[in-house]
Amino acid sequence: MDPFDGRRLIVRNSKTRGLMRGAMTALLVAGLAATPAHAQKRRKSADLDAGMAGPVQGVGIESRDLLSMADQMVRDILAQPVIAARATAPRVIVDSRYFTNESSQRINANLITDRLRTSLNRASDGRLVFLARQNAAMIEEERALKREGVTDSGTAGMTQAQFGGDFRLTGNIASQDARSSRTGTIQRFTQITFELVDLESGAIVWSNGYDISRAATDDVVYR
Amino acid sequence: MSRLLLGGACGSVACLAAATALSLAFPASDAAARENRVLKCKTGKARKAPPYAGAALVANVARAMTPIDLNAVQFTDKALTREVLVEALFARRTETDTVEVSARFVNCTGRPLGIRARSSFMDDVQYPVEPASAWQRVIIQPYATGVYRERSMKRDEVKYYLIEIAGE
Repeated sequence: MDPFDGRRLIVRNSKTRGLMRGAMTALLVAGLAATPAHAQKRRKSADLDAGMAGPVQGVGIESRDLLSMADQMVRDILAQPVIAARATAPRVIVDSRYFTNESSQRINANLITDRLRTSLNRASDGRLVFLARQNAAMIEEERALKREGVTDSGTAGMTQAQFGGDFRLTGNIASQDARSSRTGTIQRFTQITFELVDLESGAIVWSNGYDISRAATDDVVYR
Repeated sequence: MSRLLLGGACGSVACLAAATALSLAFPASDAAARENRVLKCKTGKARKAPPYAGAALVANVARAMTPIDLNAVQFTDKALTREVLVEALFARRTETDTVEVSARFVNCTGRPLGIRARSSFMDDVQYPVEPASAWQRVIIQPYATGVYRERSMKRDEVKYYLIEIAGE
């Protein structure tokens, strides 16, 4: 093998690298030019008002809907005499166990029920008592430690059993989608229903709903 | 049941009517109405109406801002004052002693109009007793009415309220 071949090869490689570098730069410039202007500018994260529409909007349930629906449900529940004007504060279970999602959108139901429970608990001023049924095992563990003498009884004393519930929240999310094959516009109607069920009689003592109807040409991914 | 400190009728840009509506007697108005007529608005009359001398939120520095009338509807969008009228405003105690406010709006335009509304509730010294409610959308069809309704979370301590409306 001619030792000069290698040198010529290096020279050729250098030229190739130069050509490739040029091509890469051209591609980069072309790529940047093809990127939407708003995407180039948006480099920093921005704090948003969760109660308002954000820069990424679709046809599904968004933060403003979660805040608005929880706020409306809290205010409505507190205006119901059968729940909020009892001589003894009723015990209520609000969690996502019986809150179902039959809609086409993937959503964490805890986003709705957790907000509803915490907002209600803060606003109710003792008019309602909330039970942590989702943490029943944790409570049972502590009760066992007290009764076995591993720990003392605490400052509030002991009860015969955990509290039983008077009412439990149930609900459902359902949706209907429509899509125009001509324009690509997507339209979605989402209906979220809430009910409080009497845990002894089965009577539904309160119901309310929240409807969303939206159309958009850009589909967004909720996850 | 405590009494709401509600004002009478007013008519500035910021404020239109405020009324106690503890009674459900009707008809509410004796004004004659003719059939088969499309609604006409004179929003200028509402904008030019004099302020009423009721309770209002004022700036710490005198005359630094327009007073915000309480027990009233506050427009946050100038364009909206030419498109929407407040036809009626109600406030009442619910059976659990919270306060329910309601406003009936009229869309004075020939197109469907989306507005947002929220309510704030205050005690007798105008201290906010709870966070303002979440914005609610009200869609009003052309020359038709739309109703906004909100309830307080607190009970007897609520003495004043304020409804704010904004365009979408």
